Amino acid sequence: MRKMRIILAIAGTLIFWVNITSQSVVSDYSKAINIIKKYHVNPPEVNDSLSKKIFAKYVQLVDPENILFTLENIDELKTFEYKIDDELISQSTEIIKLTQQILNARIPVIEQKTQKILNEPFDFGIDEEIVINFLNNSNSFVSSKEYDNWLKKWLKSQVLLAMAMPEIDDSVKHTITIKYKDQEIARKQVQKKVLRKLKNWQNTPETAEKLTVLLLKALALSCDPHSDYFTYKELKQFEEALSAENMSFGFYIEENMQGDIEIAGLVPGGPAWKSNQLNDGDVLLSIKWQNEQELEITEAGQENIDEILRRPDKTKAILKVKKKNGTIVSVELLKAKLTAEENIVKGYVLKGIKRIGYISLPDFYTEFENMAPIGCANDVAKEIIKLNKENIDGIIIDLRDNGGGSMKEALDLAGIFIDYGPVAMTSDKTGKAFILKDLNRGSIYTGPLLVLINGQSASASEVFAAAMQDYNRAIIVGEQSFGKATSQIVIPCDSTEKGSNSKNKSGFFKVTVSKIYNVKGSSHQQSGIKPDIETGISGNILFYNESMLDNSIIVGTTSKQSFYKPLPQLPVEELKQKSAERTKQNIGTGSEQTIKNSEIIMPLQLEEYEKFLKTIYSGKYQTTSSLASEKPEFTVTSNAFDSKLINFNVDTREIFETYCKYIQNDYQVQEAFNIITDYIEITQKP
Amino acid sequence: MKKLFFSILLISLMAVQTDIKAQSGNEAYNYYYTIGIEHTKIADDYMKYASSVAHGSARKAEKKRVDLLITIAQAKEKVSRMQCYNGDCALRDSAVSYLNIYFLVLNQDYEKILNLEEIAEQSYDMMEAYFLAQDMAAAKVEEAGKRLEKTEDEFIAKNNIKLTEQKSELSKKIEQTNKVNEHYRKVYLIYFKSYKQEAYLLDALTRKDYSSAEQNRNALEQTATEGLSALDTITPYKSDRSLMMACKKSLDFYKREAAEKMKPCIEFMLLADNFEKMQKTFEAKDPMERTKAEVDEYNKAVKELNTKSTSFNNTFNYLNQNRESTVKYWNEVSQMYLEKYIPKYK
Repeated sequence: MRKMRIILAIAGTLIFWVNITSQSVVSDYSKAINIIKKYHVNPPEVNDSLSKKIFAKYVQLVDPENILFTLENIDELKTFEYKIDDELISQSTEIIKLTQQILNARIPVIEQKTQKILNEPFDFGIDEEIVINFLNNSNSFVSSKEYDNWLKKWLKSQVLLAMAMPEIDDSVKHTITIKYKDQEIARKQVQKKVLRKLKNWQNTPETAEKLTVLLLKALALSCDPHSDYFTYKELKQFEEALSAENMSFGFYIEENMQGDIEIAGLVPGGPAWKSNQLNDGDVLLSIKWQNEQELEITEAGQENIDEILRRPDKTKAILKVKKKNGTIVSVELLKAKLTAEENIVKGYVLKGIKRIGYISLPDFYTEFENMAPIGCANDVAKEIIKLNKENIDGIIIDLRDNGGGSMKEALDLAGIFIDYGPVAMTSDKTGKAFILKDLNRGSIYTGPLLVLINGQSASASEVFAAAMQDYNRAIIVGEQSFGKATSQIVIPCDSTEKGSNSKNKSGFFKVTVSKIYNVKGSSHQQSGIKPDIETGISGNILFYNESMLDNSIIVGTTSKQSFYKPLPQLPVEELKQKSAERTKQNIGTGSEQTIKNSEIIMPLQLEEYEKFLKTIYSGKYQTTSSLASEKPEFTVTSNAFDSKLINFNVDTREIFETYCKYIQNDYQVQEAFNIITDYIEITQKP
Repeated sequence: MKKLFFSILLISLMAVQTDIKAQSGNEAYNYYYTIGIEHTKIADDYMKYASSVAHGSARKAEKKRVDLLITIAQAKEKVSRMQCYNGDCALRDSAVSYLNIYFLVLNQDYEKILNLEEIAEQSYDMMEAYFLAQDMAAAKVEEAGKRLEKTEDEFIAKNNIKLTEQKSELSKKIEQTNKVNEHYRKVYLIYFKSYKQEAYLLDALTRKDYSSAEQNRNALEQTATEGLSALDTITPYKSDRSLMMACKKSLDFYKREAAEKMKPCIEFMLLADNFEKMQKTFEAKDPMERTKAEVDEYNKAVKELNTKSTSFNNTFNYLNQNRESTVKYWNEVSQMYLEKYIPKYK
């Protein structure tokens, strides 16, 4: 049984609370403004209008759920609405001080109210609802008069989310079942979480620094949704997220029903895996870093623990865990580079009427440390070399949920499939456009190609998909992509810094420096890549894209001409028709239920909520699970090259088999297989 | 290689059309002659440069190139200071324009006459951009040369100048040099494309960049095959096929390397990669916990790797030796060809 993640909680931006060192983040104010002026592709005027934007973002970031502030508090803060530009330039901290004053007064009150509300059971028979903004960009604060009712409703929604957990069984038939938890346990769990959250805003020097960091983040987000401000530690996390070379203990954690942090999975071959003492379901009790005090876990949330475990300055720790049988074990672990199966691209063979290679690429990872990095494109190339030995008739590249990463890797990946030439164009703040090229003559694979995308395929994924579409190199299948056509670089606020390895822990600014165009000169910004053949909405229950984000940049077109030689047109219309004939029997109206707005109305009445859950999940079921044929047209195997490695031991074979089943039961992969089979047959017709 | 490379840069000079001698008393003729004599000086230096490329050292060739540049600059200066002839400035201006372009091209100041950014964008690498720029620059010189010829003809006709239609020795030598060079350039470009492609392939292998290696391997096979077909369409200079044969020998090697030899080498490197992963998994396990099947499988893999590494090493040695001998052969034949056909001139 695979648990569905609590979707309403993951949709928002994750902000890692970091115990930043006491160096003055305030000194980054004016440096950040200078960086924006110097590098941002559309630098805004630093004036009252920017101040207003920063203000709106700032209060959203401090209180994304609108539970800390009342309207009266916001009015009080509004004395700074048009003054933040001046505050930043003069490095003044008046708005921070005022925010902290307000929070100092509010936190004990909210704590008390929360405890009182959660001590009483909720009546889920009452017909009421709540509006939830899953992008956390709402400023719908309520007045102090309405506050108690609002808090109660909000807490009720949180308890409902914790109580009713949708689950799917991927292995057999895919029907949604909702597992219910006792309300009292759920209330305790929510209480623990909310109080922990409120504790973050207690009157401490760290709180002032957190607010300062949020003000800088608000400044970045006022320029565009992808610019950001990072503290030193956050930058390390950002780099690790994109790098396949990250140091880690090799396990995932999640908060369980009781609000405890437990091990949710081990990375095969990683340090935790190799220790042979840790398992799924072990509850984490404490962490003791070398030469440091033991740290109790009980009151910390998942984000905090994640952050603690990722500390870049520490590699060795003793973890204390409670095993399922109740025994407590201490395990010493040393972080290591994760180069295990799960992190690396793998080429499968789908054997049916035709033999199709299948490669899923979850992100465009690369090596940050290397001047001439070798990243995911090289790994894909290796798999294709292996697949070529299998006499495959076609290849499917799966970029669903691939949110991008290194642009160079996207160019290199395109290079695998085209001879040479431009892949995209880019322009900086001057407006001058440059061509981004595949630097290698020749290709590795020239046969039929299909690229799978979905609404969360973004940035580098879109650059690759657009190039394949414009060159008539691949059939693009799936759903409209995210629509991000800008690229960012990370600049240290202290210009004397030479990167994140510096000992000086000043902050970093991720700034949007360029706009991206396809080889034809137009851009997919906000509009996304339209697939040649749509297979319905999948995977992402709460739909959002670039155009829904605040301050998204308009990219437009460029008059710059790129010299590219498109291949002959592909038989898209014929394939579309054949696919439609197959899918019209399958796709009902379910996929239309997907929410295409950042605000959703969540019913707080139990039966209505159950209906609501089934409705929003139906899109996912209709396409990826219940639509999947029980007898797919293909079987999944490894390439012969890797079979020895896979069969080398039981563990690697088990992982492989699980993944094969997952591919086989994926409706979109099934349809992609049918489409590419049709494509091969059409092109092979005499 | 460096010395031969100079010859590629040789942009054909507009041949001295006629043997002109001063004729006293004819003003128009003297005007025409003054410009013509500058061209002759240039032709003289050009031949010295071409001859030194074929028969002298690289250092000497470079010196002669600089001499030629100075001569052109001086000629341009001199002609541009001349008066118009009876208000007709066409011949003077056309000659200045030609000399200017020729100077810039010889001095490789391409950016002054070409849009290099656009050329770079149309090319896949710097080398192709460079060749494309050269072709376009040569076309510009030719165009300016034709304009000058036309203006000359008009001037001659208008002023009723009588010329002796007899080619000078120098003119004949320049014409021959241009032809020798044209053939060399054609064959060299075919050779060079594969030579460079192989360099990219070897570089990628050193970096373990499989993507780049496999792309360049395919590209090498393609360029070598295309090169072999292109060779068939070239007419040898004076029926001498030596240069073409040397090029063919190299291309045959590159094709065999890309199509047959290198493929198993890349596959072997992937096998070694996989073995490394297997080894890590194997070594991570306590020896006491290893099953017999795992130990057997591991030992089998070690044996396979050892066998294949011998064959890999043999192939690489074979390739290295052959590469060295084909490059050496090409250099020798090229040198002989230029020495044989470019006239000696001092």
